[in-house]
Amino acid sequence: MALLEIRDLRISFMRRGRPPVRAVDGLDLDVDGGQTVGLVGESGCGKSITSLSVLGLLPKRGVEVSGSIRYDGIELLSLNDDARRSIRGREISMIFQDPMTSLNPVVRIGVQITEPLRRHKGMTKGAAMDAAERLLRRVGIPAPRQRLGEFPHQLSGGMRQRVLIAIALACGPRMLIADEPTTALDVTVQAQILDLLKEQVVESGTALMMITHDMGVVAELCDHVTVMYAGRAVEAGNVRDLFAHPTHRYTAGLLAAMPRLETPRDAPLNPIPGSADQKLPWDDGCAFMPRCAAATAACGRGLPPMQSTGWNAVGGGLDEEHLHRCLNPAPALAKKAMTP
Amino acid sequence: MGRFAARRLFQAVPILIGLSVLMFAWVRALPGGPEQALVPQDASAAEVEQVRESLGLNRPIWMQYLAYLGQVIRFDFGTSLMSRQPVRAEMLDRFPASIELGVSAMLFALLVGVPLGYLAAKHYGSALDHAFVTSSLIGITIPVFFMAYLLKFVFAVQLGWLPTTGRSSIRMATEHPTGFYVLDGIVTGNLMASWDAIQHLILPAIALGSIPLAVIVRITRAAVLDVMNEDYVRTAEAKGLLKRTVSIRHIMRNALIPLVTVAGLQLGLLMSGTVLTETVFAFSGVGSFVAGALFARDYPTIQGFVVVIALMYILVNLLVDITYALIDPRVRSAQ
Repeated sequence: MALLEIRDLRISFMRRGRPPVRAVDGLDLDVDGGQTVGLVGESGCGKSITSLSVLGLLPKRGVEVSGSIRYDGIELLSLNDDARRSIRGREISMIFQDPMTSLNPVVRIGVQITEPLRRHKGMTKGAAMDAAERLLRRVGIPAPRQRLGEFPHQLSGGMRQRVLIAIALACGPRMLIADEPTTALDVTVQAQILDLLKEQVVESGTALMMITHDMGVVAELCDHVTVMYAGRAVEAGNVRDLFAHPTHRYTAGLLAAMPRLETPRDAPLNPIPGSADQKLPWDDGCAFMPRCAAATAACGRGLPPMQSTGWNAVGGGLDEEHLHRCLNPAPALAKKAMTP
Repeated sequence: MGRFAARRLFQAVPILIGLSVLMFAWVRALPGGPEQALVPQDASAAEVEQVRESLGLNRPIWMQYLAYLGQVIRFDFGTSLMSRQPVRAEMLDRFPASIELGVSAMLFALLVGVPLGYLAAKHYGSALDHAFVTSSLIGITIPVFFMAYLLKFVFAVQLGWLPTTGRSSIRMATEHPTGFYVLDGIVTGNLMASWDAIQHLILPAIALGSIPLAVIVRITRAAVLDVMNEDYVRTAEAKGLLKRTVSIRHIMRNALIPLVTVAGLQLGLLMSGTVLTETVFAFSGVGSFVAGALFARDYPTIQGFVVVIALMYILVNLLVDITYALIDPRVRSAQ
């Protein structure tokens, strides 16, 4: 049994006078300790909503969540608000996308870091401040004592993201959810932040759910990856398998769209045509159909199930199955896809 | 912070001088003059001229102004043409009354308006939200004198819970070292007098405070709605903090920033006196007195009061700026 088990998760947003929007539809996902699982997809595919539902941070009104989210055997979806509050920040922590807006501008850094410690660990102010200093040092912030008395606007973006990571790590959570933690940062800082997360997973055995749209980040960090499109998982598997043999046309398109070092500078990029808001055959078929070059009439008739791709050899004997949801899978790429 | 306050006060000097020039010229541009109000209807031109001379009104206007400025610097605002009393004496009596009333009205508006606005935002779109927003409108739509009479009729005349008029009961013989009656009671150790003054303040403060109340409910609601959707509130929730920690430390502290601006502007308005409320409750403040002085063309009184009212606005604005800096560290470092 994995630490976090998501089964058949469905999330709908109610709208007045119109049918609800299904943001997530039948998602399965496992994350275990010491493991990094990537959740990949473009904006609006439901990956952030999934992470918020794990923490119980979705708005209470106008949202319907069904299925199962089990954490350490506990069904999170049936817990009340108080019980979820005592899990958040202590057992499961989250790192958000935009470090510039995710810290309270009028509260000192020290207070913001010590808040979860005082709340969940019952620490005194002094003990919590000492712990906060150690946390800041651990995430690589120089002169941590001094930083504790400062306000967010006195810190750079990279520093702020480190502070947010320190906040997330404060209570020693067993599970960490990172929602595009490097998107707002410049490339050198991105690498440092990813190293920090990797270190946490390896050294403390933390389970990491990495939400991103950056295949490079997936290759760098993840063991397993689930690709989402329009609220559904379309391909899932070991990261080596998936990068070596992307079989769903969307995954293949994403990987083909990545510019590479070895391609000539003036070579055109390979975008996926169209945009994700064409969700016409959503109910009866593959949502990617309108953008898919290989689509056939069958793609619009009934949703294909998640099934084995038959390509697991590259994974090096790993037991996880490589699954996809595609009737006309991509053949093995002519040129070997980027390997992690 | 001290240096910032001192600089702001220093900046106020040219504003006050400019304002006193404008006031001086404007008051004298009004048709008629104080001599008209002082002499009998059938007075001869020579008699009128005599009065003008005795008041110094026949000198060139710039000389009058310079003489006036010289006095004002020594906090001498001249002698009222109506009462023949020093204007300063009236000020020391009237301004504390209006300030006491204005501050009480603001306290009422804040103590009621902020929680209502917060609850409305928390229950955004619900019946509660609509009820609060609509009922806060009542404060603006009901004319203040009507509200004042209504409160007075119900709570003072019919129920007899509170006094009908004035700032204190006649039997309450007390000294007034500061002119702020509530404070006077505390200073002189006569707490009964303070309580008496508070009772006299309640109804006028509610009547007057009903005006800013509506604005404060709406501003609080809008500010809380804004802040509630900020990323840092989600961060606070993700830490698993208690609801009240999230509400107070993360939502309200940020929502205070727009609230302080509006409350400050409103406070300036309230303290400069409000004729209607003061009249209904026979509350001898600035508003009704200045209105009377205006009719009598009592130049020294009008000028003096307007300059002090302007000074009060400047002080309230300074207070707002200081409060900003206390709430928002980004403002502090910008200074």
